[in-house]
Amino acid sequence: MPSPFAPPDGGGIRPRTRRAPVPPLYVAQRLAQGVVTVVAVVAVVFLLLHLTGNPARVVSPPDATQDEIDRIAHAYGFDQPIAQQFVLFFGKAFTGHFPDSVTYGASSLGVVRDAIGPTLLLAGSAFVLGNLIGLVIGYLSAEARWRPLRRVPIVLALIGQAVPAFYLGLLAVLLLAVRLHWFPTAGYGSFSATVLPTLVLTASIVPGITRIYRAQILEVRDDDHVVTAVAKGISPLQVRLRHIALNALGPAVALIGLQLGGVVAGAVTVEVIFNWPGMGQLLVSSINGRDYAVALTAVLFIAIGFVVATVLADLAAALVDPFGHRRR
Amino acid sequence: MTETALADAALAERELSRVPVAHRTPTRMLLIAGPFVIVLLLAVVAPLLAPQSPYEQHLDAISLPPGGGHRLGTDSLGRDVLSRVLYGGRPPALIGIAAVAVALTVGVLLGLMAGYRGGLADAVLSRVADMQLSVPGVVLAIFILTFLGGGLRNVVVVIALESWPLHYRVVRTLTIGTRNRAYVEAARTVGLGQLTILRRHILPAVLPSLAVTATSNFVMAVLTEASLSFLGLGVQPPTPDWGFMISDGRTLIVSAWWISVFPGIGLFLLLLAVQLYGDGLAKSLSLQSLRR
Repeated sequence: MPSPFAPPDGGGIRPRTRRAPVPPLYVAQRLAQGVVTVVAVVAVVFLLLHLTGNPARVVSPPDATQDEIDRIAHAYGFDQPIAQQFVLFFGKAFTGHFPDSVTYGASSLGVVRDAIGPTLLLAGSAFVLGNLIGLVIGYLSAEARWRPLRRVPIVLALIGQAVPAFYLGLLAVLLLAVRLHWFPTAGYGSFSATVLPTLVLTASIVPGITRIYRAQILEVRDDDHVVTAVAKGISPLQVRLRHIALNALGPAVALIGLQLGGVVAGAVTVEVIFNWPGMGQLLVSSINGRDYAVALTAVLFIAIGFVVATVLADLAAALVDPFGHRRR
Repeated sequence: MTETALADAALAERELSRVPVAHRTPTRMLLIAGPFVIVLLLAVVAPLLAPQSPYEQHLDAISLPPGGGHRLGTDSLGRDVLSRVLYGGRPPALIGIAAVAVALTVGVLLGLMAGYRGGLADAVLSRVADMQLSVPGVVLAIFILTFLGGGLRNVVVVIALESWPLHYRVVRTLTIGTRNRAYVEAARTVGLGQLTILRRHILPAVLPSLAVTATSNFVMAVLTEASLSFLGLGVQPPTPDWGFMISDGRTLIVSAWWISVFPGIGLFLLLLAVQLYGDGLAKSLSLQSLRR
């Protein structure tokens, strides 16, 4: 006869089952949602163009004659039903055919493709740097022993969050480029020209990450599992790294994903400030120049890039915090 | 059964008693709101403080440095920078308040409905809100404003469209948490209408959280407005506006830094004041988890 104290499930000791780190169904769901989002963004852009009346009139210069407008409408297919144009655009995009740019006289795909590299370089390195620095500072500001190390970053982060990226860029140009001549004021291609825009965008990312991570650590620090770990006699360093820092990372990554929009917004204005030949600059100049083809293709690519980044952030969050997506 | 219902009611009572925290410590709340109120007041009473009209041009006094007759110098059209900085806070503040009001209204109504009724409406709305959060807001805003034109109303609509999911998600979660509380059940049993229940029994439990999301939203709205104006898509010149003034002085940054630097300080102070207010509010309502 088994002991009356034996738990019915064999003491909770079950053979470990291997499971996928992130549920495949969740991945599939997120991917499908991402595709829908991209299509929806382009649909909204299409609708907008037609809300304003004749898109050919919007695209053409103000002094264009009716005949010219009609020709533009025909060249772009504006004279066809909107649903048909929408399907046609996607069908062609899938086979690599994009409408021609008015200003560049070439396929808008090439123009946009040239701008992807610079933007990835700028936004990508700033995002990676900003996250790393933000996580380290966030950790220190929550756990450091030395009081100033806990206080100063928090005050700086509060101040930093109130400085828009483009204003920070302007101040950096004024002080570091114009006054001190440490860096060129603008340009692209050389290392020294890359430093300033990257630093500015990084600096605009760090405060948010710092605050998010610090708050998460403070929340996790007093959890029961941490008390248990300490009681078990696990070394303080292990408790801090594995039980506090790692557990705080999950919710932090999820929140960081929500900040991506701010990074893109910052990248657009920073590109304009430093005359950086990226997607943001291209989007602004193509819209100002009424280059409908380039603007549409650019929006499509930005939407894809952004959705991919959000999905990756969500998956990363699910990886670090397996139950997070169920909680939210 | 009765016991748990009573315990539940007591819990709900405690939950709800958290609502009037703001009334319990009026001095503290005033102190937190202080800097924000001061910056807003400066924008409101700009006509009393400004030494000149922000539109008055003096082409014989272009780009004068700070000091002398003009405390903060003059811009490229000889307009007084101090006057323009004082007036320039009006569009961001106004657009911020209006956009938050619209986003709040939409987010609260939809969030209450989705949370209380659940079902298909909830499923659809939540998907849409999720999708909105994974759309690059500024990129869409740039597009929308180019084709519909800038100006106060369109900027407000664009920002509100971008930010309603923020409130929606919080309201929905809290409504789901409240809808089966004993006091809500009691209200249903007594036969109160749905609208009355939502208004009198559920909304009060949601309000403190909304105060916090609203301040976060305001910061985001002011930042977006400034970025859009900086790109030339927001409030149209010659209306003084901080974002536009910063971009206006950008080409002259080497010779006349004061044209862009001072409006930027105004923007910074407004954002900092709202951040402080939001942090303080979250702290005194113990809702820090909503801040980020």
